[in-house]
Amino acid sequence: MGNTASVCREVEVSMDLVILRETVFLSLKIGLLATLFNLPAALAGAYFLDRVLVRNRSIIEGIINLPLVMPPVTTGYLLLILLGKRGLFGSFLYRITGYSIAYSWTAAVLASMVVSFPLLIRSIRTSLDMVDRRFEYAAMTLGAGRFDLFVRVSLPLIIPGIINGLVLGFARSLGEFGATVTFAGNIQGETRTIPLSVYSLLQIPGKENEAGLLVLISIVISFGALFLSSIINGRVHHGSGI
Amino acid sequence: MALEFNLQLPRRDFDLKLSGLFENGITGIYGPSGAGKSSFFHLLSGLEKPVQGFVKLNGKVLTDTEKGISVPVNKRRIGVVFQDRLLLPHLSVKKNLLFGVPYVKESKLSLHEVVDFLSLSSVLKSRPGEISGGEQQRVAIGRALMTSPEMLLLDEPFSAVDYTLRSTILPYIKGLKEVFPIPILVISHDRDDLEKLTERICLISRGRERALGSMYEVASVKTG
Repeated sequence: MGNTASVCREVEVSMDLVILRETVFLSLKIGLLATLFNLPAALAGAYFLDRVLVRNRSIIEGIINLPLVMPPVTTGYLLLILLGKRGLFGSFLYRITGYSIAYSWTAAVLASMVVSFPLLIRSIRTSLDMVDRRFEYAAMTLGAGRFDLFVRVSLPLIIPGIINGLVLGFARSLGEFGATVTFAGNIQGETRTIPLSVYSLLQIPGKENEAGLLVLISIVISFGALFLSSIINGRVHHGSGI
Repeated sequence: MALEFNLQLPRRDFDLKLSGLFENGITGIYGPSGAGKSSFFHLLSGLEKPVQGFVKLNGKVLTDTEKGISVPVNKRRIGVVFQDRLLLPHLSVKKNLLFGVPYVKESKLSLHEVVDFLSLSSVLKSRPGEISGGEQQRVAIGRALMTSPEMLLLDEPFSAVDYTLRSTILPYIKGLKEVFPIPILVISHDRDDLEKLTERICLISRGRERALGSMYEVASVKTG
């Protein structure tokens, strides 16, 4: 009997570890994908806002920054209205492909993208704003067109800002709760990221230790990301002599 | 080769109105601070647009407000050496020198020739922040020369360099006219520096040309 109880406990512990690992990897996957997918749009958006757009800049900035000030649950609800099975675009997508984005890990990525996008674009814009425009004028007199100015002059000079934005965006994605639970649900192995898992574990008596472990892991990941970004930033600064 | 221009640009303190014809060789643009010298360069290079006037370089129209012509800055083939050099801080000296080469159909000078002419071989791998002010100035000149410009504009090439270093740049700028038969315009508010460079000086004050001639002839003209 004693042996059976100990085997059961071991199985339970190993199951918990499997779930824990699954949750951590899912969180990392969603956070990384959301950040990487956001990057090209944030670069293009920051350039457009800073260098191209002259009028209505504050309106567009306001729209981009909305997820920063809106309750995340309402952001998730809006996503559901737009992309849910019966949503404005979601119903159309479902009719054509038979696939619904809502309540899938894709939805968790999308929710993370929406809430972290303002942080990434703000960081890139701030850096772009600080680039001395006269470097671009000098490059223009050497023959560089608009695209080359961005790729060969501005982009290398804003790398520290991009890295900071990526870390901030990743950290925001990692901590995302409200929009994810509303739009993607709380499905183990599919959309249950670290914060959702911590919340779920805290609802079950006796699971405080697992929740604590997940909290510790998320602190380590966030700290690791910040540490990595400061190392990369240091190298970039040192290398460019900026 | 020749530069012909007639330019008008309203400014806060005065209206800039300049016209003239500069041929090959060095022409010094002399005048007090705020006389409109840098604005004149910006109008020639296309960084600013005149309200009225034209710029022709070797017969090719670069700006003509009446015909609505304004060749973009990157297509003008005018080399500009800015007052603050503006070398790209993330690139090595060599990469700064080569920056404009992809945009030139046929480069008249090789990197080797420019490096030799400006004595830059020892700093090619350095970053702009690691070299002296005089070397930075030479890199800025070399970078412009590498694009085979049809005209060269040097804005206060001595201003950011201390007095002892000026002598290390002066011969290179003076030597430009022998090697590159193009109009070379040098802005300076320092009479001595310009006098060492050229016999042809254009005095500008409050946006107007006040005199054109040798420093001796120009010096007697009142700029007020």
